Amino acid sequence: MSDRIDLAALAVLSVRQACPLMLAALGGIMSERSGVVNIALEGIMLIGAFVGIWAGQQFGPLQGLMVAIGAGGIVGAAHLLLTQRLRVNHIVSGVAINILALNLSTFLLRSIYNQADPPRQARLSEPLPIEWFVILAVAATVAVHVLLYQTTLGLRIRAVGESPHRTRLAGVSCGPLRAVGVIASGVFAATAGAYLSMSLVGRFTDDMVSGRGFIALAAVICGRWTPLGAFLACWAFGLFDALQLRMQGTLAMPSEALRAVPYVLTILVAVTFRAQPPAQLGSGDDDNRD
Amino acid sequence: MSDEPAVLMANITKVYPGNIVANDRVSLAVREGTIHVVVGENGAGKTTLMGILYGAVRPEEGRIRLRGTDVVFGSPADAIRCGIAMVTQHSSLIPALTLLDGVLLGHEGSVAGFLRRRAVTAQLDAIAARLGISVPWHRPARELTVAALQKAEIVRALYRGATVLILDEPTAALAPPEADALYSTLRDLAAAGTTVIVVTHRLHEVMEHASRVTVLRRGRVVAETETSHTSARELAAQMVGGTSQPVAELTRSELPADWDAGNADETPALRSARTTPGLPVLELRSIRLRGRKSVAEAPIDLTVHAGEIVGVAGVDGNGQRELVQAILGFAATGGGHVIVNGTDVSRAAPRRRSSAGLAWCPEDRQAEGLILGFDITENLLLPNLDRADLGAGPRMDWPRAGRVASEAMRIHGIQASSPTARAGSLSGGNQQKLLIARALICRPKCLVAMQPTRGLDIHAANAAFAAMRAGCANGMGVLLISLDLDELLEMSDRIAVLYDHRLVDVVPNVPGAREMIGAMMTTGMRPQ
Amino acid sequence: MKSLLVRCAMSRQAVGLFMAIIVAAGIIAATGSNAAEALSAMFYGAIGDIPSAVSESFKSHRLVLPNEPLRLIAKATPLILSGLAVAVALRAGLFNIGAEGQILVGAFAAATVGAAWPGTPAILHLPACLVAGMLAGASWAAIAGALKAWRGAHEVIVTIMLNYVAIQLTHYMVNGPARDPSSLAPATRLIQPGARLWALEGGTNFSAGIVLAVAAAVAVWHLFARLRIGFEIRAVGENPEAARMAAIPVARTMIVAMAISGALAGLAGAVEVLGVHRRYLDAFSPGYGFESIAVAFLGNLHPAGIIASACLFGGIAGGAVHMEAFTSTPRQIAGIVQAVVILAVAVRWNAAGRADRNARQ
Repeated sequence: MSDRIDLAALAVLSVRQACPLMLAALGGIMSERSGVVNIALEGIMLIGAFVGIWAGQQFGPLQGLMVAIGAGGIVGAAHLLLTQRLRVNHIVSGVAINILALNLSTFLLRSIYNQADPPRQARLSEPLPIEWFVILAVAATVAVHVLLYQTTLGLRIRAVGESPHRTRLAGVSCGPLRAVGVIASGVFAATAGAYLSMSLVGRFTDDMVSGRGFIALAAVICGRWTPLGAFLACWAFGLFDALQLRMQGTLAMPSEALRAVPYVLTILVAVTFRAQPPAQLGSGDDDNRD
Repeated sequence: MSDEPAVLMANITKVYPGNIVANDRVSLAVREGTIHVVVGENGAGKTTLMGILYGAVRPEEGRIRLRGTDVVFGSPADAIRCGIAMVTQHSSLIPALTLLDGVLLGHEGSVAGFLRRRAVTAQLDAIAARLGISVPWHRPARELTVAALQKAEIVRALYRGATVLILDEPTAALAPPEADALYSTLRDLAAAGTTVIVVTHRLHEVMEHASRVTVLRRGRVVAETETSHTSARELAAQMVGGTSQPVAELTRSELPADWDAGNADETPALRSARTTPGLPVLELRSIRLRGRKSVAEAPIDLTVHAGEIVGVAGVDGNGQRELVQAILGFAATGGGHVIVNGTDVSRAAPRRRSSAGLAWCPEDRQAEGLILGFDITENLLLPNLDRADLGAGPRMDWPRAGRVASEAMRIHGIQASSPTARAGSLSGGNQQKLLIARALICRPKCLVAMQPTRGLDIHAANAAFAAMRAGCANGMGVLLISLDLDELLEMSDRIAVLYDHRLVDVVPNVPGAREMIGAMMTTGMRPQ
Repeated sequence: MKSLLVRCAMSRQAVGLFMAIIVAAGIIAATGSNAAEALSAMFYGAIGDIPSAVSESFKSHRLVLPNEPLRLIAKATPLILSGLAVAVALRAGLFNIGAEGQILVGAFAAATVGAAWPGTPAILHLPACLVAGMLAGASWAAIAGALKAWRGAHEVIVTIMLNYVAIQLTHYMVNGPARDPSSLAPATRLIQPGARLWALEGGTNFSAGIVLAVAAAVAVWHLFARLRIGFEIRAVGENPEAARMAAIPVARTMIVAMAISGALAGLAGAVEVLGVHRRYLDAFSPGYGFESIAVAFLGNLHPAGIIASACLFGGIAGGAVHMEAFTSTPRQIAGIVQAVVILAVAVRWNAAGRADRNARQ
């Protein structure tokens, strides 16, 4: 095994590992740019992963993906309703959705597939090709970049995240824009989850997202709320993940140290670039008369 | 052209929750192509009326007609469509966005959803050139001055095809030359057919620039007339109504009964001529203020003596905030010493400066002064947590603190049901009284008051000043920072002028000082 | 006035719980099980068969306690402590999502000290373990507090990230340097007898930890009702800018609040290992740190409310295990109930927070 082949394999592996992060991070960007904190990415990914497998078994893989995406959109809409109409604190709503998703997906897995004992899993007979999702992640990154900076909708979404009050004064109503941002966020996160279960592993297991939603959130921060920045951050995190998988046992340093890198890096970035997030991140529909 | 006014608002009534009547059957008629000014004190209902015209506030009753057509606005978007534009007190441009994006927002003129930044920039530059101004479209709004943002907003209004332009307190943060430039732009616009409505409380602007004026008081129209048919004096009388008296005459009756008023109703000029200054209570020696980017070149030396009020004048943003932060110890200075009552506190934390005899009233009562969710007792203790005699200390003595609060409420005339009433439930005037009460409760040697009358009606303002004067009579020194030169001239013994983060000079408040101070505020130099 | 507000708050919590039970019943029914049967199994699993215990007591002339209430209290103990942790931080306006990580480091520190120095008298060893757990949790949380106070880094982000760092760190320690070679699962060595909390035999996990938890609740009540630092914490949480202008050292107060919060979470971890597991087991926490957020909200951030809601969740968790064994309905329904409770209570919780403030007197 020559060094070059190893590098190529590492690159491929890093892309495979980074792909769900990229999709979920786009979701994080869409939501947070419109001013809604979304730490529910983790839970929405989990729901996407479960629904994808379940619907994939029922209706076929591609249809399953569509249903998963729809489910993500619905959870996104629920987060929207909770944070905007019912004025629940964004973090609280996100935490609750995460708890709900974790328990509901395991509950349904066990109820539907009657598996009391581990290993609890549901399989898909023919997984979707990984390349689809990789291409999708790259294309979506470019698309979100263009959307945010070159279109009317993007300008308005960025404006709402910075100041809903002033945006309203400019004659733009904020509700629909946040709806677009948060529902899109659910769609992206669910796609990321579906990739995990339907493509990367080919089955659903308990808590299979295992923190990737939070790493995606970390990538949003490290990429300073821009699609291209988050893309690079995700790739870097994917690379650490690939390294950690490849080098298990052969490296002098413990694999836990590599796994902790994204988290430590995120803390460092959060400490270094303060005041970068959209100014009115976390606001309700009718507060902040700035 | 018909005789119909460009804007007609008829019998507008707006009642806010809590049965606060902001507008009571207000009518307003504005002719096309004129500058029409709406004047009134704070709280007279001007901003609400303009909010209604702009669709941001919904009235309970009343009609709006534009050039003879009835309109109903559900939101600003409706008003914008009808050609109404508003330049608000605080810029409505979003700080993080470039001016261009801010202008585009809500009126993008996009093709298939895509922005056409280059084409729009060309259009905007053309409009700006017509007005003889230039605007840096590609810089974020947060980097620009208030004056530059206003220019951008006016260009934005014209770009959107506005025929009615509302400006809410446009000169509040401008230096006089900038204000003059603004009005000359507005006159050009009016001459070209745009209808301009300006909300202000600066009467000399009305007399110089407007063609017609409407006076609001307590939500009602008390006068509407051609400016050529009135005078600033008459307008002032109408604004404040029958109860209006000069500040100095009111102070004695407004004073809390058991305060030693001293010679509170003497005019400052008389007093400063008579009294010899007391001992210095606050000395600034070679303080260099830190601006946003750099440390000011010239050091500031300023002394406040016991028993005197020293005013600080200057156009907003010339270092007032930095000066206060330096005195109180909230921000690092670029060097120099702060001495409170003989103690050098240059390196001390705010709490130590407080125990050395310094007290202060923050500028924004609701955002940085009081904690609105706390009750009166808790707010009173907030800056006095070292004082065991007030019920504070490592262990809180709430019963004692409650008694102290009741006493303070009585002395300062704070009207509330009990000391456990939430600060947020008090009126603005009572909130200010509470702020002053808690600053004076530990009998400080020097009080630093930042815009203590902001947003208050004349009675509440007088009560605030009366409390300060009473403190002075008892040997306290006051540093009064205000953007309102009239107020400073009314109150201060001496006036310090800030310009570009340096002290131009300190002048005694003698008759005729106004012109000299005005010149110093705008040029940064003392006229010869 | 006050009693009215408290009653309003109570009813809102009650409504939330009611909604959660309806949702849970709906989900159980939707999967084709008998919801009433499942929920009653859950109820009995939570508080046990009280009537038969009473009759048994009369017959045998000695007190017979069913195991379930003890199990409920055992499950509630770490939730009380970590719920208090979340509440203290929230009073300072800080969202401590990191109780989970603080529990882990606190538990690990307590287990490490507890396994060391054989022969140390209990009067020294047990307090040393508790203090070690609290210090570890406090410093872990203080990182987030300090970064927030000094650099403006958002505490939610930092505490989430610190959770994962703590998971990796303890995972490494317990699989590597600190691993007990004689143990099959990754775990530290057994804690010395002198460092263990008194515990009841018989698998209920009931230990003296509940005494510590209740004491901590009383201490937190005292902190906010009587002490200056508690007042400062509330002021900073209400309006940091006004607190700063009132010469309250905001940065220090934030860090102190986070440290107290972390100390409580660390204590929760310490109590678990000293009273229940007797050693640090890898990934022993079933998500106490996240459940504690639900506990704090349902308890309206008040110590007494937190004890009540922790007992409720402890009961639900215990009952769910019982339900799973007898009706084949998966126990994850407990987590679903928690999530719905959080949401139902959190709807417009700003107003609730205001009512809560009057609880000072």
